[in-house]
Amino acid sequence: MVSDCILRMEGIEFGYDANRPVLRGLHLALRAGQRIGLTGANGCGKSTLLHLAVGLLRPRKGVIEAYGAPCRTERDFVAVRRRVGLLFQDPNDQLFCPTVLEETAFGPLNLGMSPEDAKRRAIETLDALDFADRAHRITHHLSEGEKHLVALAGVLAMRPDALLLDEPSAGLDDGATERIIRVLRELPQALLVVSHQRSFLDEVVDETWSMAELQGDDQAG
Amino acid sequence: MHLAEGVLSAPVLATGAALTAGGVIVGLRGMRLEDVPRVAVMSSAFFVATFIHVPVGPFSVHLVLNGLMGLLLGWAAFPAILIALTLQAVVFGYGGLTVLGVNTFTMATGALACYFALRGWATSERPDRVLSAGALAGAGAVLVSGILGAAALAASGRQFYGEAALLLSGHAALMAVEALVTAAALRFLYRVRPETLRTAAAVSEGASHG
Amino acid sequence: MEGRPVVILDAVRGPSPIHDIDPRLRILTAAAFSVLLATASGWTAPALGLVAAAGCCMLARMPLRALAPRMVAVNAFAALLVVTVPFEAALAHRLPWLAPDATSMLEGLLQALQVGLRANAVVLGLAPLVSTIETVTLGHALEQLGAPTKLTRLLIFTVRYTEVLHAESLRTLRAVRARAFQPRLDLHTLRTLGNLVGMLLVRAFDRSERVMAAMKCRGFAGRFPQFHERRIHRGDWVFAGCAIAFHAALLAERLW
Repeated sequence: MVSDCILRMEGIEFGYDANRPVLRGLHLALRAGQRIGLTGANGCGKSTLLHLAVGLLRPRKGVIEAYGAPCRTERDFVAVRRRVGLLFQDPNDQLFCPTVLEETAFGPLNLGMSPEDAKRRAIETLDALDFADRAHRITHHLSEGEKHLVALAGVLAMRPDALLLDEPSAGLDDGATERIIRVLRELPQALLVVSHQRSFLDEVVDETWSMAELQGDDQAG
Repeated sequence: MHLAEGVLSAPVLATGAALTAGGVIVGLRGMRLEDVPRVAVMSSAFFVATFIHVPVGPFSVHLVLNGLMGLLLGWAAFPAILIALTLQAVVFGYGGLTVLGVNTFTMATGALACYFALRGWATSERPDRVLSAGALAGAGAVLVSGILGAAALAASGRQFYGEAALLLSGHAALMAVEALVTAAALRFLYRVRPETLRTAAAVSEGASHG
Repeated sequence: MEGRPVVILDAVRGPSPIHDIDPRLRILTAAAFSVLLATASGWTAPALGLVAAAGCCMLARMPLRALAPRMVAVNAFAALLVVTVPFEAALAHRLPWLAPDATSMLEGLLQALQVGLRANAVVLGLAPLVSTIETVTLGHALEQLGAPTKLTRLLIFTVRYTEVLHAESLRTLRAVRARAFQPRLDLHTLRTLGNLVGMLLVRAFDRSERVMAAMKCRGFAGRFPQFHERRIHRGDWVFAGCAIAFHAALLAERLW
């Protein structure tokens, strides 16, 4: 594989239960600028796949490579998480700072930026999402749609090379979905978007795969 | 800090149990039956916080947060801490049944001291006071509990002075950690949900008046 | 991300002869055992206690992974005693700048080892007797033994929310890690943890309001239902007989 491959997963097997693997023989590659959608039924391992990609879960079998180098230890994955952003399905899992500004500056601080730089980066990011006017709002009091945007801002503020999005349109009304679609279409990053809504994927990605297709023939159903 | 089973003398164990019984009775009396879910959810939150570890050099300490518990629960901290420690003893085997009284008393007294000393500042409108109340409660509660725990050891025999001193000195790092975490948590509550700081304390209003 | 639910307040599962015994009886036995052994002196009683405790652990089929952490914790405390007590014992009789004498140090060491033995016996005894009781059953059993209703309900509700909040905190911690957070001993880490705790409390608080509202919707007026289903059977009598005989023997040894 050439070096423009941000993430590559080969022959991944994973299961919470030894007899019932969630994923088996999974292959996936994400190159710079590529925009891939993933679909599949509930419980077929879409979220699991994203969590495996950044090392929050570890596969039973298979190889995960980032930028051409294999990732095995927590240390390897810490480096991956600095360059590959993961947006959680439920923004309530992700948002924990009192204000929108602090929430957005949290990632940049973890990258080692000074508080001033992190704040500047946060404001720039919010500005790009038309959210700078609400920077001092209390995160917990936002609407669901706003929470989705702030969670996205928290990840984008780290300026990742790739974004992994877990059901970014789940639970949003039409207006909020429109806004997310508009934002995602303008992003330069490589995207890996998990959704069970084909229509949503068609709007934001260039190619869509089903989970069964990624796992070749050895996935019965 | 948990004192282990089999160490303390019988008079110390009995005194701890009696004092805890008194505190729990006061705490329960102030609680209405419909306050039970609210206090329980708080004691769960604190129980869960003890699973969060902070690295301190080669070691790690887990959060205790009894200062915060005191500020939010007042006298109800006594039954809430008793329950949390009972679960730790029963499910994980940390601490034990005979030291439950002493361990609850040391932790809950630290919590209660913060409630009486700092609830004015903790419910203040001024953010600097809230932040100070948090830092003082975090450090103060650990200090009070540490001193009481060391005293219980020392009262059990001259031979435990050394361990008591070690125990107390081990609390220094924990005090710093608790001060900062409690201050940040209180600031969070102040900004996000200031009524938590008042409503939760109201659980023990009944206890203070009756 | 729906992983497998992490149950943290799980009892050690049966079946075993110990699991069949009435929980109330197990609680009372554990209490008597703890009190008698924690206040015991000498070597005989703690040694007997340790043997009995080990026997119960085998009967209850206690897995090693459930026993190991608690034995490590109690022995860490005991190890500290073994280090400090001999010096204290030596100092007790002499001025601090004189070299400690060997006899009193040895005496102190033996004292510390005795404490360690007692501690191990109590912890090992508690495990098969009470760690085998489901926490909700524990609440009901304590209520039947006369503990105040508010306290036992507090226990039951605490158990229930601990699972929910623990799962929630794990998800948030995971999300924080996904944004390259690594805990260190610095201001950023402690502020982050403080925010996590604050968030946990706010969500917990909201949840308790919803729970109360839902309970009121179902007509809650300050009373909880209680069911007493368990009947005492023959195994209970056998166990009670053994427990009484054992503790009577411990008492006799002490008064001798």
